[in-house]
Amino acid sequence: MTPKICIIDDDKIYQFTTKKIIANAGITGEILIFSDAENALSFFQNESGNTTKLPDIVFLDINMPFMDGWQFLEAMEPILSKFPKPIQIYLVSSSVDEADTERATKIPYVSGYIFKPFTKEKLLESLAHLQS
Amino acid sequence: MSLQDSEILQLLTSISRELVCLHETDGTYVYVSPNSKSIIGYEPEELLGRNPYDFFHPDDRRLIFERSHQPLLRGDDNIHPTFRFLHQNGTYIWLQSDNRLTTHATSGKKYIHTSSRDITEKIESDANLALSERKFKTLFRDSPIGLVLTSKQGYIDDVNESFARFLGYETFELLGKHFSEISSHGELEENLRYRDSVQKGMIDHYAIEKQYIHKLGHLVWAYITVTVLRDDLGEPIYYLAQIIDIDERKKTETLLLENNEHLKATKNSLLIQNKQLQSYNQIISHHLRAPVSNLRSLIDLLQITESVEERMELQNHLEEVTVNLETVLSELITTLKIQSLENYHPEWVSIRETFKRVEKLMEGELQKKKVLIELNLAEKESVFISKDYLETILLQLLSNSLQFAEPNRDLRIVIESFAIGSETTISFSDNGSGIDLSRYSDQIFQMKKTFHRQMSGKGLGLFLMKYTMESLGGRIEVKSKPGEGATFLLHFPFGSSNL
Repeated sequence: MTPKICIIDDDKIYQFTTKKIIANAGITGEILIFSDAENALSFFQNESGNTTKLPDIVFLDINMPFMDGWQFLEAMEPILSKFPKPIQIYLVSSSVDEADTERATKIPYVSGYIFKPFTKEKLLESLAHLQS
Repeated sequence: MSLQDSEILQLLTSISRELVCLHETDGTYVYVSPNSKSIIGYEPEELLGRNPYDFFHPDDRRLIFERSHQPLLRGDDNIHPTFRFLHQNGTYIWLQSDNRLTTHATSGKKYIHTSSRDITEKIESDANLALSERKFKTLFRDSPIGLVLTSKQGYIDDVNESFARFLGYETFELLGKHFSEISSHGELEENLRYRDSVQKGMIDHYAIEKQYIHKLGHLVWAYITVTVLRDDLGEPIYYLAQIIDIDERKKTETLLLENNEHLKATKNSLLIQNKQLQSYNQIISHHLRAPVSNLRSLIDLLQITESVEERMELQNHLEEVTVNLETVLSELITTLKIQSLENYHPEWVSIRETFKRVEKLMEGELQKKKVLIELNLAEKESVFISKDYLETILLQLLSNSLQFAEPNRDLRIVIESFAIGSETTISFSDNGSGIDLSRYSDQIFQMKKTFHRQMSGKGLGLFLMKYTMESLGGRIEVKSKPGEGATFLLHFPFGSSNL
């Protein structure tokens, strides 16, 4: 499988373990990593028409400095329709706060909410949705 | 042209207001002056041959006989009885007489000469006056409401039992005192202002709540209504104060107000605690669960990794996460300690001395960066807090300023302190890189929020500082513009004795 995966998270250890988990799951596609949601946003704005550069799936952390996950989603909304292919966005957080999960379900372009730790099983499950 | 004696008599007596009569020694009328009709309603002929005892008020007959008639016959001179006489119209009128014994020049026979005038009007007005005076006196003395009569100058002329009892005095002890001697200073100015308005005739009465000084020294609340008594020319002569004891009511009212204040304070501290609990929730969700989930992922990977090199890398990360976790835990413990405040012993702490200690701690870095520090503490030199807290807060602010200094200009820090209302404020300003408050104002004091790229702020310092200030009943504010530095304002409650 070669889906293009995008990880937006400021936690370096998380970035490291997630990359390993993806490799161990046999996913060979390119992995885009952003430590800063603002940088990720400008990437999406710049490449909004570029099918090859855009990822198929985004794992977005909620709690980040400067721009958090919610602010990123809000900024993405106007350009979502411009994308030439569907992009699934998953919120990833260590927060078990119900307010966060509830807020996530109210956003139609969010495909799901993943509790950390991120595992191979959670990865495969979200990729399975991508296939269908 | 001469007049006859009888004619002269006629003329004189008809215009006189005196009824002139001549009586036998037993009282029988011998002569009645012609003006009798106008004074007692009878014509002279209706009385001649009759005895005045028939006309005296039954209650007065005996008195007239004993005190006037008999002494006169015994030779006493100048008898002036006052008595009631039955007027022809059936009512009694008051007469006052001058009685004399007179002797006929030739026969030597004795007669009683009486000259009487109607004094009913005077008697009645005197009686009315006496009665109203008696009524007022009774009312004054027996009133359950305290009454005080003060002179124009404010000296006490009369007080009743009720007022004296209210203040713990005997009535005579209060006479002659100036009213300000027994009034609390609190409302005295208001009281004098009203008296002045009365004096100037702008108002006739006023009512205020005021406190009197009890004989034992404590203050008692009263509701007083003051009325002015004026003379015929409208000049005030007396002030009559009516005093109602409202001490119990006022005390209850004060207690209620205090309770209300207390409830408000409790509500505020509950709101703050609630916010703090929400922050805890955040800490636990994000800052404890995040490293723990990293640990879990690393351990999972360690179990499936064969390569020695990769295992080494994972172990290094494990170590890193563990250190991170320990830091978060110790910070969490610090916040818990602050919140409990069990060992919090505030005192007046010198801002200058505390800051000097902080400077000492950071001496190396301050010298390296050539920092200019200006201390302007003339207005307020100390705050009521524990030394450690103030030191921690100042250390945090100083290291923040050092961390966010603009690299292309020397760092300048200004620390000022002043008192506003019931608060003491420390202002801590720098000319560093500042914070974009339009973007981050709601996040600045939250946990793990950093606002500067390429900076390794843990983001906990400001959170802890806000937390500490709020736990002490104070507040923290920040003012800043990107590129122009930041000013932190720390507001300390003044001498918070309730902590």
